[in-house]
Amino acid sequence: MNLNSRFRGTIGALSSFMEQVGGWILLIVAIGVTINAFARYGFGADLALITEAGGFVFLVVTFLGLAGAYIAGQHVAVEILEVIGNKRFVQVMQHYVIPVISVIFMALLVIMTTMMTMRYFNTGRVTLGRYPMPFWIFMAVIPLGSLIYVFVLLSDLISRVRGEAVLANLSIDDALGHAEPSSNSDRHGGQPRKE
Amino acid sequence: MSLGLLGFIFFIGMLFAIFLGLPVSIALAIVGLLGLLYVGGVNTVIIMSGTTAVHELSHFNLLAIPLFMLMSSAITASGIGNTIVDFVVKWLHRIPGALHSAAVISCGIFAAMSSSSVATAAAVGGFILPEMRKRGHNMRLGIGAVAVGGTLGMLIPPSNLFIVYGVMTETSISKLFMAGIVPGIMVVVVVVLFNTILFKMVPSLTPSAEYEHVPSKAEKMLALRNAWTGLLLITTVVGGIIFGVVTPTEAGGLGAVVALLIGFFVLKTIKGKDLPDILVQAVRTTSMLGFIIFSGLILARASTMMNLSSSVINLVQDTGLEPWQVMLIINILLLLLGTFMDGAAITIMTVPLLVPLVVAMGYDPIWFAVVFAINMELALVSPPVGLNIFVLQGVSGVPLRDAMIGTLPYALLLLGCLIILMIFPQIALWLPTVMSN
Amino acid sequence: QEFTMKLAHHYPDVHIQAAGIRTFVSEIEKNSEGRIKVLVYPAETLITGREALEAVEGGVVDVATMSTNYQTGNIPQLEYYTYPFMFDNAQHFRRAMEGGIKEMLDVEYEKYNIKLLNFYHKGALHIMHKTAFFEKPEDFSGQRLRSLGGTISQLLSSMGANPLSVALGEVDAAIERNVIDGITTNCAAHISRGWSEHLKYVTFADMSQGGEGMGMNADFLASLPEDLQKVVMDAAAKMEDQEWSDMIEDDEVSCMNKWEDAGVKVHILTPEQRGAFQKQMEPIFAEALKARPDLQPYVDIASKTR
Ligand code: NA
Ligand code: NA
Repeated sequence: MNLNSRFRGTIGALSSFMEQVGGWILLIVAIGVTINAFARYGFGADLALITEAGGFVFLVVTFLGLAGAYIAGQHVAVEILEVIGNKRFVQVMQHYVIPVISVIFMALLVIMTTMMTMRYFNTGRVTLGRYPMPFWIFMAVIPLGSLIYVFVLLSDLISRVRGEAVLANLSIDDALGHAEPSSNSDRHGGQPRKE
Repeated sequence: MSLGLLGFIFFIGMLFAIFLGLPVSIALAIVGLLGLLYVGGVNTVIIMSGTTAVHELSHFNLLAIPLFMLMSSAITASGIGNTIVDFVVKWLHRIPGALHSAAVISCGIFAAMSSSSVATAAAVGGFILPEMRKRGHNMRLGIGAVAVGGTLGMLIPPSNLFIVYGVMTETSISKLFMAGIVPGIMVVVVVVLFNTILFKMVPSLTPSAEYEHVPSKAEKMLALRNAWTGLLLITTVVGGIIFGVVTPTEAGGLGAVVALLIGFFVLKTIKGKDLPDILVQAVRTTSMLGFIIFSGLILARASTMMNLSSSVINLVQDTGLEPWQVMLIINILLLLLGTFMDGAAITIMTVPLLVPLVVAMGYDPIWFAVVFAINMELALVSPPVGLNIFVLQGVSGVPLRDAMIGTLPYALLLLGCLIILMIFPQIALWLPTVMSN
Repeated sequence: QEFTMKLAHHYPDVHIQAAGIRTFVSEIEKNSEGRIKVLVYPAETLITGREALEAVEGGVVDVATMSTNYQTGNIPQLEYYTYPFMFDNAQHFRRAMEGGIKEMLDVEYEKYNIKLLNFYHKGALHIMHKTAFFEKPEDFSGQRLRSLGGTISQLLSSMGANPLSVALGEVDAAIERNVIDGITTNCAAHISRGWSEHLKYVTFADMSQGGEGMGMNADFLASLPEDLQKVVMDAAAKMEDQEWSDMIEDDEVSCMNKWEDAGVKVHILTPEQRGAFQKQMEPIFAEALKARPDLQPYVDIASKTR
């Protein structure tokens, strides 16, 4: 086991863990709003916490799932080059150029939103309503989720250079005939797959 | 640099970034942040990247999206959709394209409960699309029908768009709601007619097993009996809203819970070990969508800060063209914006600036609201950036290209409806006028 | 030297309170003789009320309306003057603001590098219900009312009502489908959001006063030469005057007409009826004062200016 494959394994597991957390949050909130609704209907009482925290769930789930969605090939991209370009060119674009641009952008996003998280941490801003929660916690999910996405992109770039297995299931690979017959609807979880 | 040139660079840059093959979200965000950097500086970029995400993605209404995604993936995993689709196919056997038409009608009904177009598409798509795929129905057209049907969420009341429009322009929200009903029904009718004619003319679009097999009465009754789980789920969600037990957002949570319970205990198709996969599927689709919504907002804010929309509107205003010509230009601009921007972002950006102009030209703001709404519906289904297409390809696992191709004919039908509404404003204005007399 | 001032606010053009902002802008452009050019981003087209504090603090925009109800998470003192039945009416509220409360808020905003240029009325909360008025505390018993937490919810609970936390985007559906019986809101929202369609009974309680001001990035203000600083401050003062009188006129006259046109019935609480509610608030105030000692000066100013 070389260093890169250990890195890859860790990152794969981490991104899988993050989306699992997002999933359980979603389930808890689904149950929570349902109970809340029936409590309100039956007893005229609700738990404001559900409404107040529920407002942040879309944000939290979005960023917790970023890396996992990438690995599963679910971040949509318009691959018009796939139709017009030659195979080699498309492959270089999809395997190197676009990941590099993505890494740069996502890394900047990590830095900027970390700065904002620190700012919220320092001002001590809390959420509104009956159950004030520190705002920075919700903000922190943004750099955290983005950071794991950066790691996944980096890990796959390194793996591609070294000709090793990658994490991401890019639809381009299916189109170019590299992959198993399954398309991106199949779930690869955090499992590395051979190119 | 002149604004015109800046706007041009902005637009071309974005198309380039998208067609390069970058993830749509990253493409939009890069161009947006570069725009903010140019016009506002480093501090603006840092603050906006953080506050846009943390404040604009944290509205309770947005919770409807992940909740309906969860319901959708629970339906897919449990096979509840199967029973309903079987029921539709057997009972409406004689009607060509019945399944595709039923999808659109279901969207219309669901739209009358939900304010959100994306939630509507996710809910109905989750029921029908995975089953269509299994049975070998035409997936492109299936996605197209649900994508366009789903947009009715904002046209058929209740509608978040009309609420925002009403508050921004101080027009009566109840009149806006009424104005959306007839055009909404018109869209459903047009799409159903199209389906019927198309599937009649091209029988090969229907899987031959279903086309050739005439179901017996016994088979029909069996299908009806088997459909009870699906009917139970639909009744719970719709009834829950109608009887005031749940709000439209909470209905997503209720639907997800009930779908999971049916899968676990009634159909026994979901086992404990399947649960993480179901949850994670909802997370992934939500994440894809949420990141695009975030990027779209960044882009919208950049163009607002550059004063692009207000300059264009002033330009149009100063041309001295006839009102109908100005209206035509407005619609073309909205269509263009809609190709790569999300409806909510366009609304925030343009409504406060457009409506005063439209009213000054003597147009009815209620009619324009419906025109605007159909434009925003088109934004959801026009390539390259169409959120409903993205949601449905996520829900169904069909390649994006197929989803876009399949949506195109239905998007054109929607455009046709828009043109009809432009020519005959009475379609929108009739009901509010009648009701207020 | 010429200056460009980026101004963001949350009012659409048609909103009554947008008029004061137009005055602010035109006064500045006129009196600076074109040396200050104002770029206006109206109706939350650039930033929303939720971000106004960070945006002005960090210089994304130079000046913005401070949406105080979104800023209590940063500046808890912004909640103090919204305590139910603290003020008799908008005039009393204004006297208290000018009698020292604004000065205390200035200090809080300064911590965010923001100069609070002025402070004005934003309308008072009343109780809107489907079928009934609320004339005494007992009337609240068992009512399901949407309320946004804080002391208003405490008051409602103490009178036996069920305060419910329905999110803003869901209020319409909640009213229409009988999820709730009523809401606490101001006249402008009641009418412009169409809630008056279903909630035809307004108890004009002047229950909780709302206010906000224009916040300017302190560095931006300091960067202006002194004569232009004065131009800005004068314009802000003129705007303040206009906002107070526009809003009070709207709340007390125009709203009544709009309500009448919409077929809404209005009951204005008598001083005796208000007295009963003020009494109901006493233990809540006492409890709040124990938890937040810095509330005391706000209460003192309120009673001194009564
Ligand atoms: Na709707
Ligand atoms: Na589009």
